[in-house]
Amino acid sequence: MDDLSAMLRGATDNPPPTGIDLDRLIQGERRRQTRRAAAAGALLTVVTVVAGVAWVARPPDRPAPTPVTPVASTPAPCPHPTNGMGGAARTPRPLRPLPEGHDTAARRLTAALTPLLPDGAHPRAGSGCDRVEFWWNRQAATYQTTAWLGAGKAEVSLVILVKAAESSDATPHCLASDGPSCTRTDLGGDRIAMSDLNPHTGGTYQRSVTVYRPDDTLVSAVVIGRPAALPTVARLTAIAGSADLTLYP
Amino acid sequence: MSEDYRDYVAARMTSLRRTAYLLCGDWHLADDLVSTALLKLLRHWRRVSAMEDPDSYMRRVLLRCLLDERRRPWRREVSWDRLPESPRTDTGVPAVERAEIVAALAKLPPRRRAVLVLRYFCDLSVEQTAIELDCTPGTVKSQTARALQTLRDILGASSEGMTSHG
Repeated sequence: MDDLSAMLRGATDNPPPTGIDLDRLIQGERRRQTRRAAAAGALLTVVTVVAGVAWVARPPDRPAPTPVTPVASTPAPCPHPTNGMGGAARTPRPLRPLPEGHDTAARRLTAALTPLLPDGAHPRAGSGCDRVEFWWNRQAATYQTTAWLGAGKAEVSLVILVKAAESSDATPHCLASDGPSCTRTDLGGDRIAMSDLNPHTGGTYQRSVTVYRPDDTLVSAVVIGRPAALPTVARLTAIAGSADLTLYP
Repeated sequence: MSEDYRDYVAARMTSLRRTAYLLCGDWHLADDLVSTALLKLLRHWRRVSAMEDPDSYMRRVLLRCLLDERRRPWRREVSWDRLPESPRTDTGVPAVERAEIVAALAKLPPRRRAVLVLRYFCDLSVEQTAIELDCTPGTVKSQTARALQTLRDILGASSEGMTSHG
């Protein structure tokens, strides 16, 4: 024995039959992979079911989380007469497609309107809501909200309507009529205010100001009440002309 | 994938078993080590088959399996769940010498044993051995020298002519 290599090879010559079963080894590994895949699938199913249950169990009408520009806060929505309910909807045909969903736009408009409202503006008593909030009116294809000002005989309702400009809006017009009370005012910056004052019922009057704006958004501020209590055209124009009340942020 | 893997394993099964046997000194344990290494190879076959030297990967896995196995507490037990080896044909090396060399290897520390097996059975160079054992060539040389000296001391007179070619 004069060589270590020869010694080592001689020591391992003619080994006993092996007990290694390659087929069984491969099959066992396949079974393991199958079990792992099944376990992963089961886990995914559980996660999906839990997520689905959580989604279904979320508060009603709560908007789904969407990657949108965050608004300051997202309080619980107020009940509205046609928000998300039945009724024939008018299909809007805006000059430009709206970049946001209705819920998102309504939340943003609500946040923008709050600082514009006159002091003491509040939602209708018994409305079940604690704030003046925009909602999507499907029948009119308009975002709208109603606030109330004053009390007693000086009580005035204030309705704000926000809609996307359509081809039919190319010519500015007053909300109720184009009669003698309709007044056109150029506000500068390609903005036009159309205002009118018309008798309503029971000695009340309706004053409206509609601002046609270059951002393809029409905003109308409409008040109904006794003439002495109605906000001025300038006050309504300031609200309707606010750049924050836009549908194309 | 399966066929490639089978072909590779079939071509190297004997060599792997013999290497494992020299490393651990027991054919049954050698089969266990090779089985574990083959399973790891199967799980990573796509990556390993693309390697330049898959054999090197297998040797490293085998060494790790051996070291892991020796750390386990049940290594102190001896299992006889299989029949003893069948009689062998004459290999030209007396059975006594075969037993002596395996017994002498078993008395070496695992890494010195691995150095000898890699260099004198797998015919790796000092540098290749250093890579597979994750150490420096100098360490391989010193471990080799000490291992050879230990073997000479253990084998005594029968190792008078034992030489190395590395």
